[in-house]
Amino acid sequence: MDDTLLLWLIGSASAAVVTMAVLVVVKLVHRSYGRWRGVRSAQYVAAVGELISRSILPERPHPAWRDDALFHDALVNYRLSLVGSERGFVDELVEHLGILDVLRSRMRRRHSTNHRLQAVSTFVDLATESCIPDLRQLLADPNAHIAIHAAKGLSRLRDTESVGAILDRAAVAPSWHAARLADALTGFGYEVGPPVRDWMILEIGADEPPVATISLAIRVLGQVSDVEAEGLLLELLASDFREWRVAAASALGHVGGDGAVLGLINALDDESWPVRARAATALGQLAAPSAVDHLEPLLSDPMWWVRQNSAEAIGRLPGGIRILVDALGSEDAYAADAALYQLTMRGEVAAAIERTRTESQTELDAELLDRVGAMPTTMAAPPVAGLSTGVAV
Amino acid sequence: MARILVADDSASIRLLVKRHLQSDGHEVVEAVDGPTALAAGRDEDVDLAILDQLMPGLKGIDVLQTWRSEGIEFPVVLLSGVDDHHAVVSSLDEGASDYIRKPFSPEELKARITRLLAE
Repeated sequence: MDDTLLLWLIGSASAAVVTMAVLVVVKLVHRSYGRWRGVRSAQYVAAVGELISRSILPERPHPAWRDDALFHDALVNYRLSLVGSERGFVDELVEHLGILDVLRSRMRRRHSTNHRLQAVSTFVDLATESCIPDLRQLLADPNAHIAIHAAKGLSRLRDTESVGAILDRAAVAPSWHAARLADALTGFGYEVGPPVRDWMILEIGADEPPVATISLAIRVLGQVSDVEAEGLLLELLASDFREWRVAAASALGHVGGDGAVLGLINALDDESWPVRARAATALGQLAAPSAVDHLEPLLSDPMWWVRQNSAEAIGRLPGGIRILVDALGSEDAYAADAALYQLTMRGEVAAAIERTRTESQTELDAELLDRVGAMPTTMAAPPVAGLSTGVAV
Repeated sequence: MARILVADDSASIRLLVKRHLQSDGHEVVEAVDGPTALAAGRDEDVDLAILDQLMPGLKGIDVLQTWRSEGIEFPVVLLSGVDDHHAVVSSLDEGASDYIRKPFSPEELKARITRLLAE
């Protein structure tokens, strides 16, 4: 072996040993740090727990408590787990230690984004009504994640005056962040309905309305079941913007009353298939018997989703199973396929087989199984135990 | 005074509930996960158990179901999340004596436990 090769081997081996040693040291340090944090965290949990149990504010608190993020985490942990007087005591403790001021300082823009986000998240979890001005200010922060945290905080504090500002912020945010800001609004519950409607009425009339944000606002009205929104949603269901019609049809499925049925039936003829599909689902959710005759033709709609949603809606309505069974014999293979899929998913096919086995078969069962048996084997349907398409039971 | 099992993976909740129960003179046995709670219910002489629904290893409802299938009949209070309606219904079906939703008031929990022990 020549000297060059020997030197290269020794060098490589030394480098490998040194690298391994460094890795081992880093791992040990990391593990020790993790253990130290775990121990400290457990100590803080125990300390805060003792204070809450005894309802005693410490006269000389440990200096580290005010600044240590782990101590703040322990407070958050308790605050989010408790209600009543114990939660009130946690708020007193936070105030007593001046922790909100520490967090306010860390939320300033001179700090790194990660530090700010951590501080804002903790601030939101510990926020009381006195923090509303801070949160409103954070809502305008250029960092969308910070604005989302602020919106959640305002929502928890039920600051309905901020609803318009949250929607305004969503209007200038990228779509994902805008959706998260709208999600924060659902945290208000039904109280969010009137201010969202007020904001929408103002924006709908604008020269250039924020189309996507208004769609999100419509979704919020549906999610919080704002029954007072029915009239506004019906107007939007007939608007020029497809996004609004889609969102309004979905929302009406949650909040619509008798007055919504006619509007949704009209929407079944919409030129846009997502509107037709959502309107069909909404009519099923509203369990409107008068909708059956209008849903039936949609079993032959050119779009798969419209056919499926219509079949699902029909299945929910009185007399709907009869219509789906009849559709199995339709000359339109798409209508038959949609009906078979729904009858299978609803368990009607399996139930008919079971009743046939136990000799309690109804006339409708016999018709259903005959028609399924007569369907071509290429028909796509979920497998059902005891039945293969085209085979008699 | 009673011997009460408190099973929750959150140290803060265990500690707080323990302190409140101890202040009434009860003895507390702690469990940090489902399997430990299951074993404690079988092996310890427990008068009542407080089970968190979401614990590592086994859910509170599964621990309860196993105990009931083995004929272990002491009262059980289930702690569940605000939106976990399914768990609440299932736990009552499985024989839970009561449930309490998080976030909760330890005072309310204590009052319910006092009532159950009196029964």
